[in-house]
Amino acid sequence: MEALFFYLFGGLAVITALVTITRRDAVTSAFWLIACFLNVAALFAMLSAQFIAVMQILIYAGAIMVFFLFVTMFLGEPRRVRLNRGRAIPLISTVTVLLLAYLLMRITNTQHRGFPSISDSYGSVAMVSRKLLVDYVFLFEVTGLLLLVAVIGAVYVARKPRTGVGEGEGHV
Amino acid sequence: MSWTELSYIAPILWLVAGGVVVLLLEAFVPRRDSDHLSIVSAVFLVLAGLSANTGLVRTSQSLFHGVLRADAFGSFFALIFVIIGLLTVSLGAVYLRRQSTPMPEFYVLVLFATAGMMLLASSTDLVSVFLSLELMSIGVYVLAAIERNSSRSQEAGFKYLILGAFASAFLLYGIALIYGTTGTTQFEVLGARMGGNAALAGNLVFWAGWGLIIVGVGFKVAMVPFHQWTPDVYAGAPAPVAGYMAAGVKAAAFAVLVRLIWTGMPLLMDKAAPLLMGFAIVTMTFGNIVALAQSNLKRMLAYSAIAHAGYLLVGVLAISGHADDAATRGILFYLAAYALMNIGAFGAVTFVSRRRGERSELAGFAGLARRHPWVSFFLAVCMFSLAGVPPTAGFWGKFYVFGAVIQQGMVGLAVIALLNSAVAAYYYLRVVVYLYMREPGEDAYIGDDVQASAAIGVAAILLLWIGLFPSSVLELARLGAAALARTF
Repeated sequence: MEALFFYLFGGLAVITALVTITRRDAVTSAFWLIACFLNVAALFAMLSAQFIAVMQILIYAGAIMVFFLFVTMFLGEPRRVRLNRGRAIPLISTVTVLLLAYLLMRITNTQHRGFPSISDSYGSVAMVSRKLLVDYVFLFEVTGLLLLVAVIGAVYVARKPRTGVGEGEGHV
Repeated sequence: MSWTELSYIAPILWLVAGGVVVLLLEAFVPRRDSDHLSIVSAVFLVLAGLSANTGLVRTSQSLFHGVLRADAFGSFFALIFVIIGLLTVSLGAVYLRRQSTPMPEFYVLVLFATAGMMLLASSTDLVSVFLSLELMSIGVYVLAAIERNSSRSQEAGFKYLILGAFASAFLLYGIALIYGTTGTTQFEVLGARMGGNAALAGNLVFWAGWGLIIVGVGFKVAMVPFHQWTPDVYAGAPAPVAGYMAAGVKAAAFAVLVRLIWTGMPLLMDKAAPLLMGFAIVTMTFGNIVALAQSNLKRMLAYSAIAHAGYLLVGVLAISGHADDAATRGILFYLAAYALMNIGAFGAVTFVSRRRGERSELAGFAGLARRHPWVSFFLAVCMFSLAGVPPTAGFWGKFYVFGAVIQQGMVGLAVIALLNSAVAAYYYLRVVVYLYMREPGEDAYIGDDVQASAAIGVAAILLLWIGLFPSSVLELARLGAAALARTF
C-alpha cells in the first residue's frame, strides 16, 4: 500500500517537474511547479516528516510561488516572456545529467549501515512546537520584532517620498 | 519566560517599548515637525540606560534556555549603546529639522536597531546572534537610505543592503555548518564540545563554519577584504547615521566576536590566529594608507573606521582566556572611546551641513576655528583622540590594547600597529591644521545649530574626561572581561 502511494506521488512529482521545465509560458510553468511541490510534500508526509511537509506547502508552494508570480507579473506581459533557450543550455544540461548520474551512483553504492535512528516524534508538530514555543520562545518573539522592523523599513523605502510638509499628504 | 528573566533584559524592553510608542505617536498624533519624538526617544533611551545598571552587579545569569546571558559584559555594551543612541537621536533631530519632508521613522529605527545591538552583545546562542544581527542591520539599512530625495543616500542604503544580505548568508551558512558538526548552537555547549573533542579539531567542515562566521562578522566591522561597502555607505548615508553605524554597529559586532573567541578558546585561537593576524595587518594598513589620500572628511572617517577595525582585531588576537584578560578589557575600553570620537567627528559634519546637501569637504573646514571656536575645539579633541594623542580617551584605548598585545609576546604585531598609528596621525592632525591654521576660503562652512554643537561637545568632553580619569571606565571594562572569564 505504502509502495503504491510512493510510486504514485513520486511519479507525479517527476512528471509535473518535467512539465514545468518544458512549458514556454512562465506563469503556466509556475503553476505546474506548485503541483510538483504538492507531490513532494506528500512524499515528506509519507516519511512521517509532518513539519517539513507542512513547510513545503506553506513556504514553497505558498509564499515562494506567490513571490515568483508577483515578479513575473510585475515584469509585465507575462504571456510574451519566452524562457531563454540560449547556447548555454547544452552545457548546463550536460552538467546536470552528470551530477545526477554521480548522485545516483553514490546512492546505489552506499552501504546502508549505521544510520542513527531517529525517534518517531522527530519532526512532528508537537516536537516542533515545543522547540519553538518553549525552548526558543524568546527568539520566536525576537523574530516577530525583526519582522516588524522589516515591515517599517520596507514601507518607508517603497512608499513615494512625501513631498512638502504643508501639502497635507496622508500618513501611512 | 519569567518576570525575573525579563527584568534582566529591561534595557532592551525599554527600547522596544520606546520604538512602538514613537511609531504609534507618529501614526495617531501626526505633527509637522518631529522634535517631540526625539524627546520621547531620548526618555526611553535614558530609561534603558538606568535599567542597564542592574547587570553590572556581579551576576552572570543565563536566560531563556541559554539564548542570552545577563552579565557585566552585556551591560557594559548596553551603556555604550545608550550613549550612542542618545547622541544619535540628538544629532538626528538637527538633521531632520533641516529636511523638507518629515521622517519620524528615523527615531523608530534607531531605537529598534539599538535594541538589536544590545541583544547581539548579550547573545550566547548562534540563532540569537543571527536574529539580533539582522534586527540591527535591517534598521541600519533603512537608516542609511533614509533621505529619500538624495540619490547618494539611496545608493548607500541599497549597496549596504545587498552586500549585507550576502554577509548574512555567509554567517547563516557558517552557523548551519557548526550546528551540523557539533549538534548545538549554544556558545557554552559548543565551547565544552570543542574542548574535549579531538575529532572536531581536524574536521574541515567545522572550520569552514567558523570561517564563514568570521566573514559574516568581518563584513559588519569593515574588515579588509570585506570592507568595500564602507566608504560609499559612510559617505552616502546622512552624517548622524554614518556616525551611528561607525560607533554602534562596529561595537556590537566586536562584542559578539569577542564572545565567540572566548567560547572557542583555546582551540579556535590556535587555528584562527594566523588568519586573523593577516586580516588585522592588512586591514589597518590598507585603511590608513587610503585614508591619507582623502579630501572628504566622511570618506576619511570611513577609511579610518577600517583602520580601527584592524587595531581592534590586533586586540582580539591577544585574548588569552585568563581570568583577568588584559586584551578583552582593552577592547571594551577602546570601543567605548571609539564610539564617542566617531559620533563627535560625524557630528561636526552635521553641524556645518545645510538644508540642501551635506557638506563634508575638508577644504570647507579651513579656518572654522575663527567662526566656531568651540565646535572646532570639540572636533579637534575627537581628531586627537582618533590619532591616539594623550590626554584623550583614544590614547588609553590604544595603550591598553597594544599593551595587552605586548604582554602576549606579539611584539612584532604591536610594532606594526604603532607604525600604523603614526601614519594615521598625519591625516587626523591634518584636519586640525585645516581648522586652526588655514585661511577660510570663499565657500568656508558655517554652522548655526546649538543642539548639534552641544552633542559634539558632550562627546568631546567625555573623551577628555575619560582621558584624564580612565580608571572608572577601565573598572567597568574589567568587570565586563571578568564576566566572560567566569562563563567559559
